[in-house]
Amino acid sequence: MTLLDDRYTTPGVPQTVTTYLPAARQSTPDEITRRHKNRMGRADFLTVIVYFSVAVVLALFLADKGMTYFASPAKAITGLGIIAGLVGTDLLLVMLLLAARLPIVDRTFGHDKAIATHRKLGKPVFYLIIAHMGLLLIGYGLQSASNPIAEALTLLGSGNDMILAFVAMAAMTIVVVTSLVIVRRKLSYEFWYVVHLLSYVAVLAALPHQFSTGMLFAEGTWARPYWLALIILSLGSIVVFRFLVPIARSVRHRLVVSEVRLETPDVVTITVTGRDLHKLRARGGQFMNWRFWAPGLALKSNPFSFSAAPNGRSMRITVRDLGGQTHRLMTMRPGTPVTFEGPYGMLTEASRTTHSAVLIGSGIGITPIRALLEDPRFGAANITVILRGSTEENVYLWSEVYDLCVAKNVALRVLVGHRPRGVETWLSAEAFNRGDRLATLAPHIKDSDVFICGPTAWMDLVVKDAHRAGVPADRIHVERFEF
Amino acid sequence: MAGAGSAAIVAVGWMFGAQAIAATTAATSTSSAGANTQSSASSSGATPSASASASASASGSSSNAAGSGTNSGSSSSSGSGTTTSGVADGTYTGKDVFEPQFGGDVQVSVTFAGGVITDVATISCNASHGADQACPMLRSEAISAQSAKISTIGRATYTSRVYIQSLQSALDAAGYTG
Repeated sequence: MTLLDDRYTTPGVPQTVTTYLPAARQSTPDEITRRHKNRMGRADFLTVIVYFSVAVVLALFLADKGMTYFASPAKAITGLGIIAGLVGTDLLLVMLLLAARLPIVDRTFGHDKAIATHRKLGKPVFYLIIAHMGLLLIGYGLQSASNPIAEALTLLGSGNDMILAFVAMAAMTIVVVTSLVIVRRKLSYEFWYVVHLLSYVAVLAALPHQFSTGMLFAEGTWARPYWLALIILSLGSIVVFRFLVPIARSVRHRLVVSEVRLETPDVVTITVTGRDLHKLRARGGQFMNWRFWAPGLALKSNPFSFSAAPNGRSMRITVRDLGGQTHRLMTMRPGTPVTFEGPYGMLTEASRTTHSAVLIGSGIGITPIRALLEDPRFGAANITVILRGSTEENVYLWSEVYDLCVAKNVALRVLVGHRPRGVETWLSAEAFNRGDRLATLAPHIKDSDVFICGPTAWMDLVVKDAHRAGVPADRIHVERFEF
Repeated sequence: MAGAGSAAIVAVGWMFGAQAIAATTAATSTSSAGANTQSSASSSGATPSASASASASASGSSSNAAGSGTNSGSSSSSGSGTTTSGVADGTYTGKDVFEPQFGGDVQVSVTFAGGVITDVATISCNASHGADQACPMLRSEAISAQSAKISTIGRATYTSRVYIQSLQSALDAAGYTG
């Protein structure tokens, strides 16, 4: 077992954790349990709301004498078409809320899980909306003894609202198809972003026909204000939490780069300072979308995790040169203004469920692990930190982690070296050949929260090993950086 | 819990829908009952002018049988109706017209007595919330206009159109040219 490899036994002076935050003491087991319970409660509550919202639209349909549609086959097709449209649109609004960076969603499920669910809903919603259009064209066609295409033309001729609805359908099709292609072909983020702006077109263009042609939401009905409220809530959340809040925060906190320090030739640590940073309530393990207002950098924001626990005065990130924008960060000058969105993420002390913990980081993924460990509230009798890198140099920030481990009396394992060829493992070849597993590296793993950050494929292998070691899914916390 | 709650919500919706359906059926039956009494009232009110001359001619021709007199009176009144519109007494059912924009449908039947439209009964009026209230309004319009040349009701344009189409088909079936 590599417990502080000899090559690394040059312990520095344990770093003093200076913090300007109130209540900076370690969480007690009771607090951890209570927070976990609260979070589970919130999760149940939010999930139930989603189920109920689907039930409510079905109920509204039935209350509007929806069951009379099922008197004849042709009308039943029409009825099913209406239901598909209602449920599809309801879930589409849920998708908007999931992508809106609602604080309660981020604090309960985490931003990455919210986005994963958003993505999972994409296809079913698309199919429901397609079914809505198709079934109504067939149903109306059968009832008026014309074919669906003639029916589509009739509908197109019935006014602007229906024309807009067809535009929305086209826009939605483009968004879904390109999203699928992007996932498969790995098209650029910029392209995906522009395409996703089309989804706003789809949502907005589909609105008029819901209120004019859609008889369920006719004037003078109860359903109308309800539906309107849902739409305003979801579109409003996007406007507020994705645009207004980040702008307001950036203006208020006035972040400026105060230090740029090269860790290795291809890794840089950037420190920023600003006003009233303690009010941001940023936590170690979280990330923000950063936009540095320097030539070649201002056009795009990038997500970077804190590499030190925000202490109320400054925040720090450590970035690896992966080409493009990250390459320009290597030579950025102090004094560069910074705007940001966030902080987001659940790889924090707040998502613990129990008093022991295992922190596992690989390469540049070590940065949030280090920040999490540094969180003054993070402490326990049983903590193990496992770091990995293909080379010694790739175990970024290892000496800082070492100091923190000493200060917090935490066990540290460092696994250096390439992974064995042809074997599916997250371990270095050396550790693998020795027969190490999570259960041997951290014997208390079964009763611990496991925090993991690193390359996606590698994290999947760690998660698998954690499952094998008997860690339940709700104790595994990962941060995935994919858009 | 989410499942049970959702089921409860859907059930409440179903209940409201069932109530609404029961209410509309009751409303249509009472309104058609009301229409019947009204139409009989109006026909009895409308006939005097016609039946006055008819009964006069009837009483003039045969005074021996009062029963046959009233009979001939009514038949002559229909006869006089026949002279104005040529439509025999009875109820003529219009087509069930589908409304493609909203997926609703409207079907009416027209009752002629004495050559005039005495009632328009709504067989079905499936439309959106506000729009199904258009059917009773269109009915009274049709009776007073004595034709299908009536204006559409605001906010129920599509329903009005199919109502008029069904009404026109009933009038066509009756051979009524207005």
